[in-house]
Amino acid sequence: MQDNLVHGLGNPSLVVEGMVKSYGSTRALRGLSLTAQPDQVIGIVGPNGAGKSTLVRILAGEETEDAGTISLGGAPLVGERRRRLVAVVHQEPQLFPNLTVVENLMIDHRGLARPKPTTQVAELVERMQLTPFATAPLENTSIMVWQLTEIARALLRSAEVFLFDEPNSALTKEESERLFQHMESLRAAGKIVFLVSHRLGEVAELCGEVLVVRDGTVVSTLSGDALTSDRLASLLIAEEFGTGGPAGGPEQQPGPAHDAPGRLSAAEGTRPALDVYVTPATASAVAHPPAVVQAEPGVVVAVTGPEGGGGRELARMAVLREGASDKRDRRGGRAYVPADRRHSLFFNMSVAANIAARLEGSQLPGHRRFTNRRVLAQAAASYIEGFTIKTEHPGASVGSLSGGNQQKVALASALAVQPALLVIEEPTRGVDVRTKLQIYEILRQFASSGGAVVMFVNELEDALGCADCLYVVNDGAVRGRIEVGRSDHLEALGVMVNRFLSRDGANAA
Amino acid sequence: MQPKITSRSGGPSQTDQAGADGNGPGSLASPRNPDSRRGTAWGAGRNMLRSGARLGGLLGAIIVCAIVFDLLNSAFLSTNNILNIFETTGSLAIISMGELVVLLVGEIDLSVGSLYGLGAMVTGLLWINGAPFLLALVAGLATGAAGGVVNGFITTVVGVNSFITTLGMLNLAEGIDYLVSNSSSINPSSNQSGYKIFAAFGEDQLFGRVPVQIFWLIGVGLIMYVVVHRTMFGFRGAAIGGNGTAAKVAGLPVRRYKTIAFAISGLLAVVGGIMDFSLVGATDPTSGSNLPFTVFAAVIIGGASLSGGRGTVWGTFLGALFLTLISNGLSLLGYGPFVQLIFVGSIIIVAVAIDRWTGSGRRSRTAQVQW
Repeated sequence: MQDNLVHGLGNPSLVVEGMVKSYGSTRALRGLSLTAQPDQVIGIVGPNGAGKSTLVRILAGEETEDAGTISLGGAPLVGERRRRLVAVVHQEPQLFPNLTVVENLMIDHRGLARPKPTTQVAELVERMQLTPFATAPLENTSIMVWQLTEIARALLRSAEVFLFDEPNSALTKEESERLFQHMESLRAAGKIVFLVSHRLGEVAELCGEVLVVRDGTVVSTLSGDALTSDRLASLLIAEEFGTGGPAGGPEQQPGPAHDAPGRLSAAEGTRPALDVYVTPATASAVAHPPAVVQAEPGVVVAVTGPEGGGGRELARMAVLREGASDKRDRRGGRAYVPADRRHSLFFNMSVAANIAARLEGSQLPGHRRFTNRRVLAQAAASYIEGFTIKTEHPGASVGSLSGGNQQKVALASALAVQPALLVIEEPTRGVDVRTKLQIYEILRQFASSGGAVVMFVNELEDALGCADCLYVVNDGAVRGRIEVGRSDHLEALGVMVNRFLSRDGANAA
Repeated sequence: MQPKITSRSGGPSQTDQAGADGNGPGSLASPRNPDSRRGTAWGAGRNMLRSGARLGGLLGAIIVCAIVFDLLNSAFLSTNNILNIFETTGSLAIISMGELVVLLVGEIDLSVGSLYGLGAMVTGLLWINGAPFLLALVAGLATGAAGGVVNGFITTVVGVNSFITTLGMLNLAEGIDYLVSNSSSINPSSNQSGYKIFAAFGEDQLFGRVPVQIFWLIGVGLIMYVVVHRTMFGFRGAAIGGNGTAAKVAGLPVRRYKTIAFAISGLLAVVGGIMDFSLVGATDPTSGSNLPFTVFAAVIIGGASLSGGRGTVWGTFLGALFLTLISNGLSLLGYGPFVQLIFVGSIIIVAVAIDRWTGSGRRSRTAQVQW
């Protein structure tokens, strides 16, 4: 507050008070409050689902809050004014790819005639170091140029608040450095700058103050000496299962606790030692050193790492290399479940149809080429029961299920073909705690029946919940391998992962 | 054909109320997740009701229109005219069922109009130049199927989107039609060998005066019903059309199924073409030039979705019947083709608008499931 007085009106502070936002029954923000001044870059960190993106969307004016106020320099920030004064730099900027950089900057120009670049635009292009790209269509330039253009466009409309939302997840190290310089100069120019990121090392380094968001509120604020990436990591992960408690996975008895009638298993009979080496071949993100992850029957392998570091690509490679399509019989092969359910489910179809979608006619009960809803329901019945998929009826639209049940349907569909290897990204994205535990159990059960699992996780909780080992991948290489014990603490695991991540220069803390 | 995003937040409260109104054995059950009640149930459940409502609405519209036309001109509901309507519906409905399959897998086929003409022309040319009718027939049908396979290949392997591909095929096949026929029409005489078989495609009337089209319609309709609603092809095809990305993830044979769909469409276009060739007794390169529009009208009015993954054989048949009935009624009342066009255009828009506002279209991704 003192700073505010010293800087006077030139540096207004942004005050968010009592922000509340619900989506249906989910409360994304529960009375979040924060105060931000331009004297330092402010970091926002938190696990997925903590409310970060909701906060960003509300600040940017893309969504309306249910309750709460936002003010800038004492004046309420609402409607059109909010959209003008707050700029968001996304990983996917909102620009016109078919226009040039300069044209993008002039898009807000009013008037009938096709405008000529004003001196203001010309100066800005110069200052943002965009001159070499000024007349290139945006679609031919790198994501970095997009982001700089986005910043420039915001500057043109005199934006005061800049939110960088995972801005450098797709940038190279050099580009990231450049972007950070721009962030710093924005701040120096008296703009309020936020950095939302999962890369704790960078956050700790760049920001003068970091807000930790959990469950829709700011749970703690770090600054000064207290602000280290280790401390952030432990804050992020602690409390997940109450103080200090072992982040217990689900019950691990492979016994009859869960008996989906024998169909949960990997292809019966095929239990030879299966070594799946996942080596990056083509993905550009996984460029130089060959990262290898070894999957074995009976083992759940987790891969983690920052977005763009190659971990996700590495996991995906396991299915892509084989080219899973058009195979008549995928039994004993590989099955893949993407992170986004929009890419794994058929929303024009029922629960039963979704579960049976990957089956060949010969795998359906008693029929070959002909089928009908009843056959599909029969095929799906053991999964609906075994995975406790809550649906009114096998014929109910899959879109009518909750997110967790949809995820179980996606899993059932992949496991129904009895693959030897299951590759899954973010197995518990957008899923509640109870369903998480069920999903862990399903994955463990599949492994213990002889299947191999490779999963990419953002949440270490997932690794702790069901993985046997965890690979940490960044900058296209495996940075470390951790044996995961069921009794490990989430906090300890987080610190270990973070050590591996920051060890190698890229995120030097 | 992008996969549609399901908006779960747009909760359809009306539907829930509709559900609460009763019916369905489920309503006795203990409290359920309100979300899941939006779902569609089996058998006697609400899915049947809703998809039944879609068909029922169309059937209702057909009956109302028939009554109105009959009040205006009592000849309308005479046996002769009813048979006449079905005679005309036959080929349109059969071609539309082919188009339906293409829409189901998430593609579009504009080339049905010219494949219709070209297939009939190939058959006619070979036949009057001495080939046995059956051979000529097979050649014509093969032409249509081959055109479809080419469409499928270019769409799925080369990767040109199907709108462009089949637009090209529309022109290409029409050009070939003009070239091979020398722009002239073919009028086989009834002395031509094999004429009896030829007549069985459209000219014949069975049991005295029942047009043969009705039997073709029933036969092809049944086959297509099984293909679309009872086979793995129909099941997986609807999945492919509903979400192409998920279909790839699931390892479904996307290319093969799409190519088969185009082939079916091309084949049925020629079946329709030969039926009309036989009915009229002549074919020329101009025939079928307006067909794609009518076919789309029938399929869309029948409840299929242009974005893929939704549509029924029954609906398609009713859509075709409705269109035929409207033009027949209007011409009985003395209105020419111009007024008919105005009506057909309005009906397409109204049908889709009703779909959208009564909910089956608005929430089609959640509320109405194909399988």
